[in-house]
Amino acid sequence: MINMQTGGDWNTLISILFWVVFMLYFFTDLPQKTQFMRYERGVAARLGVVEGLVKESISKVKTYLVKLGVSNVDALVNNTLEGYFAIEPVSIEPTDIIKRLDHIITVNEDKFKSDLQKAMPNMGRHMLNNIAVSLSVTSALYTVYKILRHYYLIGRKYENWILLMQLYLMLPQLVRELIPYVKAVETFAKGVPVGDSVGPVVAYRLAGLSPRIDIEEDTVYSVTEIEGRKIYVIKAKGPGATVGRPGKAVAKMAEMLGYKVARIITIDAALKLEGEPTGLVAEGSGAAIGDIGPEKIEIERVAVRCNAPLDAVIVKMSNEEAIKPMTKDVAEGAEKAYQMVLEIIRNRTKPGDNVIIVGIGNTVGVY
Amino acid sequence: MYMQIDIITALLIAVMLGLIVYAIKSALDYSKKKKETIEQENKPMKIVSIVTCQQNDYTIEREFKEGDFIGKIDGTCPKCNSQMVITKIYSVNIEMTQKSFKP
Repeated sequence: MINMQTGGDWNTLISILFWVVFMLYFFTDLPQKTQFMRYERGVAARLGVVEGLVKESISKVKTYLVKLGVSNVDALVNNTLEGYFAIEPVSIEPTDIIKRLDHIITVNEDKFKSDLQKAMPNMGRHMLNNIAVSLSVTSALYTVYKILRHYYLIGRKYENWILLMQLYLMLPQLVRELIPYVKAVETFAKGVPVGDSVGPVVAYRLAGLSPRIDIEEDTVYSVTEIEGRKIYVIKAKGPGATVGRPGKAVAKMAEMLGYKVARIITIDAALKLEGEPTGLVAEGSGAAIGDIGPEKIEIERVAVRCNAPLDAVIVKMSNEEAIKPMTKDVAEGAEKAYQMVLEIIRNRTKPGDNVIIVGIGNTVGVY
Repeated sequence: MYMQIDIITALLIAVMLGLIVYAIKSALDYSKKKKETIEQENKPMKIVSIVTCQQNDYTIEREFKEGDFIGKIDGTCPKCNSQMVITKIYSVNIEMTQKSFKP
């Protein structure tokens, strides 16, 4: 038992304090207001980080363009950040939606590339592609920042604490996912292969240094022979940063072969689930290609028309690893995928067959 | 005026102190873990190019130079004089080793 002398009635004081806190907590908006302020300040701070990332990425692109001797860099970069967007076609009437979508994407891409060519008339094709992808990455970062800022301002304006709470909870993850984009600008500008280049790397392993023949815009094919089978290897035209038009190339190639195709094999990078190892190789059926529709559907249609099995070989990696310089694990995954493709050719096709192999992905740094 | 602290109050104070210690420890652990994650993400790395002889009898690993790409012909083999080609380009983490000051 401890006896303590005090200046007042402690019990009364504690009781009053308890009731004041109780009333404030349960009968006023004070807890919500405090929480709102915390969310608002937290979102503002993290938005500041995203803004910093955007500025860093813009500055990297500008420095690179100045180094290449491009004039009027500010206008070029600002125009890219704000100037190019594509509006989705009407989907309530699905007839020929793929053609319309393809048309819109192509028109937008062509406009972007022709504007870049006008700004840099003496630049080579590969360098121009590297610049285009670096600018696209910066533009993607800027768009994400603009959307986040929009929701933050809306939340603040209407005191929508649920909106701010969602942003507050999501932003740490988003910031961590956006950091690799800043590094990607430099990677693409320097022409270093990224994780997504795993498909073109496997295509290179199959085709080696055999001649690359143009088949579609920014897309090439090579012909090689493996144990009596004729192998047509399709990939984007390297070593500049481009994904090409593999779907249309496959359609053209099948037409050239009179639709006598025994098998179509696609190789691409795929997102791994958290906990899965990087560089894991898996095989399945279907077209392994991550586009929004037009290219993938071409491959599927050709496979159906030729009655050819469609194999998908994927190399797993995280979203970050797909745009960062290729890691050793991914490079080893590419080697395993190459061996798997060889196995498929040996075991599931016969000598004399025509086989189309498509290395899907960005061919930056890969011939 | 005297205040009596009985066994229940003492117990409550002990629980409260325990919670405060736990909260401080969790905060410290969280910031330490966060720092470790950031350090892991920002690990210094270098990009290497693997150059292999077309006859597969000689391979060298060197640092990536701007202009390198997979499939680039990069000199001739010192052993058999055939072409050397860049076959792989990938990044590797640089392990930071602490220098020992012991003789």
